[in-house]
Amino acid sequence: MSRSRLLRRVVVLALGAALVGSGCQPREGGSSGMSVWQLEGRWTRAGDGEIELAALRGKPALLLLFYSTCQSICPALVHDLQTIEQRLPPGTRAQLQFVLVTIDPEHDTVERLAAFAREKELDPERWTLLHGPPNQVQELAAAVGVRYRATGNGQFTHTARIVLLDRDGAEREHWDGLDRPLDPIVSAATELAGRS
Amino acid sequence: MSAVAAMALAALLAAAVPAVAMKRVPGGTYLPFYSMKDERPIPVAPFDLDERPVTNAEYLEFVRAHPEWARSRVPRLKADESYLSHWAGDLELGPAAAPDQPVTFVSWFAATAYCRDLGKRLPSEAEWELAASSPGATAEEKAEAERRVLAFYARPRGLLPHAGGTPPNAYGVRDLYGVIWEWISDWGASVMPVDPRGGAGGQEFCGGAAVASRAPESYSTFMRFAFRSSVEQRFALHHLGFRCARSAP
Repeated sequence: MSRSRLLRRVVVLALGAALVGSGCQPREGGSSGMSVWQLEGRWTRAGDGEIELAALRGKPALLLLFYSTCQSICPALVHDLQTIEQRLPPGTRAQLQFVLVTIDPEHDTVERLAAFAREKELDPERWTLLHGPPNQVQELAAAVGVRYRATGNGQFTHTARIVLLDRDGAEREHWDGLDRPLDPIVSAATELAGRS
Repeated sequence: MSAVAAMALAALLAAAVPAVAMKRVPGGTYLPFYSMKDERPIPVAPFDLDERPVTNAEYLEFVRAHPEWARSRVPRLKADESYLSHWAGDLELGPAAAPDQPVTFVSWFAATAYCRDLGKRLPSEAEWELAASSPGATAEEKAEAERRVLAFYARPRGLLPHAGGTPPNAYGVRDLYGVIWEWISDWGASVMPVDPRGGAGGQEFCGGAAVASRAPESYSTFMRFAFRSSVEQRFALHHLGFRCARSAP
């Protein structure tokens, strides 16, 4: 994390603390209006059944848009999330959820996602893999600033972004690319989980 | 004016606007302006496209029926603070927004919801660009069209004309150029073709190189692509509106 970004985060946290201290409630269009879990529509949770995103409220989340047949960056991103999971303090681990959403719902069927989860040994207690219709995927991606485009050979180009959401589903921070340390993500997630 | 009278007048004005006609655009193929490695021409099935952009009066009807899209109630996730900022109030257009002007200051989320409410959808990039591709036009006509487009992109007018005022193109569709920019369904697919493994983020997408890669008359296409890739879907901007589409039965 760059120094300016760190500074911004500190300011945001201080501001948040000040608001909590003054008993200020989030108003409509305020922080609660930023929840990505407010997006409508039915999704299928691999290995489980139909859910709406609102069901994911309650715990902070690390969110990743990916596709399972990705040959370049997605495997590394999923691996990064697993490393983050391992580095979390044991007490914190249960307070966080990991949400993977496929940007390729045509090929990433619910069965394929379930198989992917087993293959990677993703604990269903903490990991949610979502399959939804293309228009809902577009909306969710738009809500977290992820861009993606099919490149015609079954592959996609897409923003390599890990997004940290608070317990309401509002974005707190995101990290782009692969060449970034994981510890700042672990710290930010731990801090958020500790306060919820 | 009492609130009731104002609402009645607004309803009257809205009712005076006939429902927008849709024009059939035959299918074809669309080669993305900046093709990714391995990207093939995209087949486009026949579809219907609104003849003109959605107007303030039409959008007001939508907000009236769906108050969650009113300026004071829309969640910030779905529209930034500029959303409908040129209207006089939640349900009042006011002097800065004529009923028959294209509605602008609307986000992609709002445009998506509007079209869905009518059983339509936003056109895709391939559909929009195909409809705007001036089939059958001579080289001179295309060059002239390109000059007009670039003039508009370079210096959008402060005051929007009424919707549907420009001559129809070969498909009978109006206002694709020279009035407003328009949202498309796969807005987020305008990805600058940079290897996401690198952190450079867009610096490799050079306008000069891009233009050299295809015919210079497609410079306006490049500008649309660049615009789309730089505008987030929650933004509400002065010259950005939309129209709806529907797959042909």
